[in-house]
Amino acid sequence: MEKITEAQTILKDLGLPESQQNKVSALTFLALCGIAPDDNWNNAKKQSLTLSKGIMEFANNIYGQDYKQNTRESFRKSAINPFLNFQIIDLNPDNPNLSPQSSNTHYAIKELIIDTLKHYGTDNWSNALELFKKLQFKENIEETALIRQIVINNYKSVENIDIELGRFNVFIGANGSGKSNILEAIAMIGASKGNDLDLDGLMDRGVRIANPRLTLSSFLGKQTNKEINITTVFEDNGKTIPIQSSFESSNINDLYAKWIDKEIESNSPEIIRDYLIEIYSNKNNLSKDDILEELNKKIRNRGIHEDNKYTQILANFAIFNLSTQALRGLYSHSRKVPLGINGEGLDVLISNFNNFEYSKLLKCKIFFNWLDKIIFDKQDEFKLTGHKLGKSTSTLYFHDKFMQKQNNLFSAENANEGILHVIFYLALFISNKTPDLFAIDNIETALNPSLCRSLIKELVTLSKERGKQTLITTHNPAVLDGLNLHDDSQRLFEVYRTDDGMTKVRRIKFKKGAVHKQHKLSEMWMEGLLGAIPQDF
Amino acid sequence: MKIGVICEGHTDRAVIRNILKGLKGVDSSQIVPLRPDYSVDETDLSQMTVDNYSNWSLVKAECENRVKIDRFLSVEGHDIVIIHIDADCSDEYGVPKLVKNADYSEKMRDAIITKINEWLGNKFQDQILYAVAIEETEAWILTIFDKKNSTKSADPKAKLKRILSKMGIKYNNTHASFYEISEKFSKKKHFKKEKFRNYNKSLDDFCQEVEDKL
Repeated sequence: MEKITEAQTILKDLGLPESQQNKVSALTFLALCGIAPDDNWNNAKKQSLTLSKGIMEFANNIYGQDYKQNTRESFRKSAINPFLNFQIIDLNPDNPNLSPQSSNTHYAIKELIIDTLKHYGTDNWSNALELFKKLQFKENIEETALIRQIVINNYKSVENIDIELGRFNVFIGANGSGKSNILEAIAMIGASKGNDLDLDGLMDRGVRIANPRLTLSSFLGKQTNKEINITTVFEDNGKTIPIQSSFESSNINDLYAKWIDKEIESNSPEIIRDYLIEIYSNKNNLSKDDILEELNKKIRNRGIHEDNKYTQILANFAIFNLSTQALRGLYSHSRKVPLGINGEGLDVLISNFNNFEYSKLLKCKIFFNWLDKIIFDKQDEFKLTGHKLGKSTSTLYFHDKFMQKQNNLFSAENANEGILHVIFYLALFISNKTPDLFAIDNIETALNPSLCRSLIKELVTLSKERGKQTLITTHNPAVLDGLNLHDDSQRLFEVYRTDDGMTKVRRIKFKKGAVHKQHKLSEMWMEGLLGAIPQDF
Repeated sequence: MKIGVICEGHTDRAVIRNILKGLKGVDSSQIVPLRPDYSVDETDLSQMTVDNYSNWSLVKAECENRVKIDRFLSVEGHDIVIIHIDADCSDEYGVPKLVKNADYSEKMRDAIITKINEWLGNKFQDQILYAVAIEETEAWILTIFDKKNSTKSADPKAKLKRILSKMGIKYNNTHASFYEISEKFSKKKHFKKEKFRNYNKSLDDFCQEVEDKL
């Protein structure tokens, strides 16, 4: 039965596990696509079928099988349930309100599968599969909003800067030039928008806590301003959305004092008004007490702050600064999920990747010629067979293709640090559960210069594919060689301090006409041509 | 705006840094050292003498090679390169010493600029500021400490040493030290009040060029 074999191949290509590539799965798939033995796959059509009278009868009548009613469970287990999980079919598309036990329960293949099947057997099949895996899960669709501009006033060494960001932004500068301060200022607005503006909220996002007197800019001969002002301007499908914060400390001399976002306070009346409108629009005849109770509920659940896609993007912002120990699962300081700011949680995140995400992750094989497979020991049983000491909580393992088969598995606890860092960064860019906007401090840690270059190139591609926006700091010139500065979405910035100690930022960009500059950015940086080096040695 | 500086030694750049700040408020962060630089590592440096690491021949080589200037000027906001050279060894680089008459400084400066342009293949002229010190940058610093004309001083280096020693001012041959002793150049008010430019023609010419082109 050639068509059954083809269906099995297609299911495999669509990313279904081996247990869903059997004959029952194949016949169910053929039935739902309405494909008879002599049909062409591009004739696949959407039709609603019940299990017994639709799918099983199709298998028996069209493919000469003899499935009895008592094999229904086998169809459910091998095909229907996994097909639903993998977004291959819809449940009850003609009547979504049917009860789960209804005898009219029916299924239909998704339009996306029909569109994908049109390319089966053509040169475009692998592209069609790639597109399918991307669109298969709604959450795989990338975010469209980007921060275009950040204006920071009065934060640590930043008295005033105005940065126009691209999607992939790299910051270079001498030690102490203020690179991290720029990232922290964004984390502060993030904590505020996440209704989390306290010491824990700031530290969770990677902010180094300082006395408020040091958090406010303080320069010789200049009066200290008591407010930190940060404005971010988003661009989303041609729209411009500014978001502002003005921070003031509740006690400038107290390390533990709370910061207050005055912008949120000033917006409170409008937010409460919106809550009341929502309450009234849902229920008309509420007593005063009921209204107050409903209002309190909303404030408890949502806080008195603006809550929209853009504030959410800011709220999820974090500064990642990896530690090999955290990547190995030997310590876990960061509470942030799914990935901690030091590298925590990598194993759990990637073991829950969907097909699309996992296929992207496997790109890491190009960086490590010894890597055969990534394994997740979900039951954490390998430690009992001597694969790790057991001090690490990571369930991540790797197969080395150069080692003997019985002896080629090693744990994150034993793996080289480079692969852990690379997989972390790939996961951060690939996952739909990680922030859409984030920073990476010192991305070069533990990476070979040549690997830095290739990794950056890959991360630039992923940032576009996955709708991520990032701000990266580095001290390694090789990172710059992975950037293409002729692409406006990739931007390089020099961070430096003036004679008065103020942090300033400028974009490094080539003049028009310098298309064939014939020299590497890494060399230009090392030669001192880009600035971003200490001068007075 | 960033300004690239090619000079004989790090000490010369320290003086230029102060002059640019005093005349035009140029911040140190705007100054990019192109030569001397760190293109020589410590292994090679250990085999070199101060003379072959810090002298006019490196300025000449950089101008003739032009790669670094070209690379620097390819970046947006990088529009000016200052080329500094001392006149003391001019006959070694093909500019014969002239008779020290009234316009000695101007004529030496013109001849040296012609030579620099020759090294540059007559390129980049609109983007170059010529910092020609006659005879040495120390003659410019002398204007801060000795209110006599230093234009024709034969050995300003020795004279500066003598004068500062008498005044009890210690300094050495480093960027930081020269930055400190030439610090008065960094304030416009000192330029006005102490009239440094009146005491050295080549300093005045360089300042004029800075004012005109920057």
